[in-house]
Amino acid sequence: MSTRSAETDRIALLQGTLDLLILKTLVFGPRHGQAIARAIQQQSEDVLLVDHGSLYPALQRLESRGWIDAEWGVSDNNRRARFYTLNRGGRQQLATGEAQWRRLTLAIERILGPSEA
Amino acid sequence: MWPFSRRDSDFDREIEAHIAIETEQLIADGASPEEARHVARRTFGNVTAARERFHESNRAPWIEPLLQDVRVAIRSSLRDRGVMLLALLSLALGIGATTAIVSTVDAVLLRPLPYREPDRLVMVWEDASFAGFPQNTPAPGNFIDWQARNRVFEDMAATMPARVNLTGDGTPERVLGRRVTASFFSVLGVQPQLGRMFTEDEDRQKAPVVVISHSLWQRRYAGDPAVIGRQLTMNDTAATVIGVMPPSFAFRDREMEFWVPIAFTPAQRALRSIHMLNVVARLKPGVDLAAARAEMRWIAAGLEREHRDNTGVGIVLVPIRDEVFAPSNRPGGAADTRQQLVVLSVAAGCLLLLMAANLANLLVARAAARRRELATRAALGAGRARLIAQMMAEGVIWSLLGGALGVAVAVAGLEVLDALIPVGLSAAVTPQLDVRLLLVAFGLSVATGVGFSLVPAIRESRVGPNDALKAAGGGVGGGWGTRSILITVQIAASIALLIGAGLMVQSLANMRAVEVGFRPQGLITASIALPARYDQVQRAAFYDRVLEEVRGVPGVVAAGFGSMLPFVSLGNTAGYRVDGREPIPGNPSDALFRVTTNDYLRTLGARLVEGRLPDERDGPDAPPVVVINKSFADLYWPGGTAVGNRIALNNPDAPWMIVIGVVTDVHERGYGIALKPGMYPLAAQVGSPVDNLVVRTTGNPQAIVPVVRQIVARLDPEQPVAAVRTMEEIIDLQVVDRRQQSVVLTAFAATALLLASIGIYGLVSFSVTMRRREVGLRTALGGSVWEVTRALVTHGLTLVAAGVAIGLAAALAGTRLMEGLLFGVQAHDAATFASITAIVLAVSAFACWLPAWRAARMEPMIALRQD
Repeated sequence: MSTRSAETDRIALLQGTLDLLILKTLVFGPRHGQAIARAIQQQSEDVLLVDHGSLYPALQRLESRGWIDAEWGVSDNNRRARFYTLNRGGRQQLATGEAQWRRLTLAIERILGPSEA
Repeated sequence: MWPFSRRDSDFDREIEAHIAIETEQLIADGASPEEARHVARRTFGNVTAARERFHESNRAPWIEPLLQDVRVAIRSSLRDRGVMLLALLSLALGIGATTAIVSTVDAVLLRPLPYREPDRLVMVWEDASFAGFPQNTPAPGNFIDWQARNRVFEDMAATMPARVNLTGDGTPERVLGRRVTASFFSVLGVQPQLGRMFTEDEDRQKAPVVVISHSLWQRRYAGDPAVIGRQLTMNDTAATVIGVMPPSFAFRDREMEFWVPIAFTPAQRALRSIHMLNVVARLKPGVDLAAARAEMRWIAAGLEREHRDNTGVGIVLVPIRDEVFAPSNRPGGAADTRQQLVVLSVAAGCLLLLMAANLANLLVARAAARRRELATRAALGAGRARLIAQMMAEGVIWSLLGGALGVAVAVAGLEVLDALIPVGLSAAVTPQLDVRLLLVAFGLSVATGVGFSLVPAIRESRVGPNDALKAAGGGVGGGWGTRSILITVQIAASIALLIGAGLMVQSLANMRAVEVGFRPQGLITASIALPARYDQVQRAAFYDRVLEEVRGVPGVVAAGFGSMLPFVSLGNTAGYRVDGREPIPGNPSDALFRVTTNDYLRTLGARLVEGRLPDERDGPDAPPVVVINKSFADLYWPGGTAVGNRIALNNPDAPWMIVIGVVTDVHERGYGIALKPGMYPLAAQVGSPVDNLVVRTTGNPQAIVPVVRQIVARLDPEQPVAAVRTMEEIIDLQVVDRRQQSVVLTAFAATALLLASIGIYGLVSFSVTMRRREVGLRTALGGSVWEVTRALVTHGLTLVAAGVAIGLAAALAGTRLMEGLLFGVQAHDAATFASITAIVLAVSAFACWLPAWRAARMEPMIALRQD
């Protein structure tokens, strides 16, 4: 693969936003760390490229706050991996976080005005 | 929510799995394995950074700062080694000395009683105050009636001491024990560890059964379980062992090693004129002591009406716990153990407070000294909580370290005290470290460490960074008032304790100097009690032979036998009448009764004031004679001649005895006990057994003991020679309690003074150090160190003076509490007060002066550079 110019395209993500994204990716079921990273990357159509490693502090934070549960399991390829599951508290947090985010972006958009085509 | 901390290795595996899965997917997408791995790693990012982040987030957030604080505290303590050493010394002394001292006394005073529900047990005594015996051993007749008539006790038991010669299976041994009613074991609520107790029937029939003690079982029968059923020969009669008591069991005396049925004869059951029992009773559930007392008094009144022998005889109930503290039938003067316990507790409390005060002082001083340091840290961004934590770390570390040292001191101190304390007491029980007290002292030190570093920490951490950075080493500042108060308290406590100790020591010395009416030095005693198979003639012959041979031993000056030694019993009296005289009204005509061989009084060294001592003229066929003591003579023939008069025992057929001599009173009953009239009839003429040999030697009395044993063994190989002691040892037993108290209190007082000195030294030294720059400046400019430090030293001395004043006041009040324990010295003895004050002033003044002197020796340049 060519050297990524991803460095310049990367948008700095706020800490809380990353948490939100992780919670969202877990809505559809338990995932291990690598899968979560890939999911974020793919669903954002490669706009959001996170150092996979920096996902983990967020995961640890979410786990210590009790919004996700973690357990060792077996992946599709018969590999042992640590799977994260969204629990009820997490779902609530996701709903709250999502609502906050939409309010925030709406407000910012109002200020910035419609985008020039 | 706090997750279970994951281990670093767990996260490592997760990282591995992540990268591996990513690698596989890249391979599936078409990359080569190497490339895939490479890219996967890059995509992950910095693995090391991730692991570090995990590691840090995982640790409890307070551990890192805490470790840091500890490191800082250790460094800063080592920098100011002097202060830390003072603190540690105080703690070690305080915790160690207090624990060691209290532990030695604990062993004896606080042992739990080995009975079921001991608070329901009472000792029952006859109240014969009219004869000088407010707690008299009851007579069997009274016991039987009390037992039959009362409704307040579950049951009552009676015991009397017994001494037997144990022969037949080994060295002949004289063993002490008790004759007891069968109810004895059930009243006390104890079970034998082996076998059984004897029954009512066996008691009634005087069955030849015996229950032995654990110590006898181990010593003589090697702990063999087959001892049950074994035959013993006690006083030449056979007895079967039916039970063994557990090692913890004792009743009034740890020396009792066997229990046999008391087996009252019908004659004894009616006997009211001979008083020799110990009676113990268990209160019925729901009955309180007051009710029992009322009922028993009513019963005693009834008996008084029914029997002439009971005239004036009341009854007294004493809870058994109080008896343990002040056994009433042992010569001991007023050594009330409970009082001792109170004095001891107060002293221990004082000492711990002194220690805490020292630690507090030092910590407060440290806090003030570290103000600049704190300001610097605050300026560098430390939050207030961190600052406080840092200050406390030091205090806590000192406490823990000091506590550990204290344990070491306690162990060592126990050894030292054990050696100092007389044999009689410590032989019975080896003092163990009282763990509870250790924990309390430790806890106190930690609490002080935390508390007294917290408070100043809070105060000092309030500084703005600017405040403290200026004027380095400025005024002695905050906490001065507190420290001064603490020092004053320490001095006061030291004075009070020292005065108390001083009085005790003097009491002890006075006691031992008291004229006892004979010469105890150089006397050795032994108990040689002949069994019943010796008739009167054989006994007399035995005694004569022993005395003859003993007198031939080189170094022996005199020897004799007596029925009872001085300082052993409060009683052993007999009623008498005087020829030609009416009984004196109000006087019970009851005299100490000591049967002796002719040479006994001479051997004792009793002093003759009139007439002569017995000699060869006074044989079995000669007219009966008697020697009386001065109390007796003064009672009937004050100022006149007692010699030539006749007295006799109060039995109708007792022969008249002629008084041949008067001696100054031998203090038969012990130190400090009222003297009674006494008579010394002769064994050859009266015929009663005289068990106690006394021998006066010129050299070391112990040296002739083996020879005496040989002499006796040659005459009768089965005859034990028991209780070999010097007369001084016997006397010492009475003062053993006081000796221990003196040692203990002196140890306390010395420690207190040391702690106070450390405290003052620390205080003055600290304030001098704070003014180092000023001192250096002034000396560099030509002033003398004295001028500069005078104010500080004076302040220190002022505190001392205040402390002394308060301490003296406390001592004046407090020594009144000790009055019962003093002997021959007043509670407000001027000499003691004055000398102690002088000592404390001298030591304190020295402690004040020393830091100033040290400051003077310091080079001015060094002082100036200290910043």
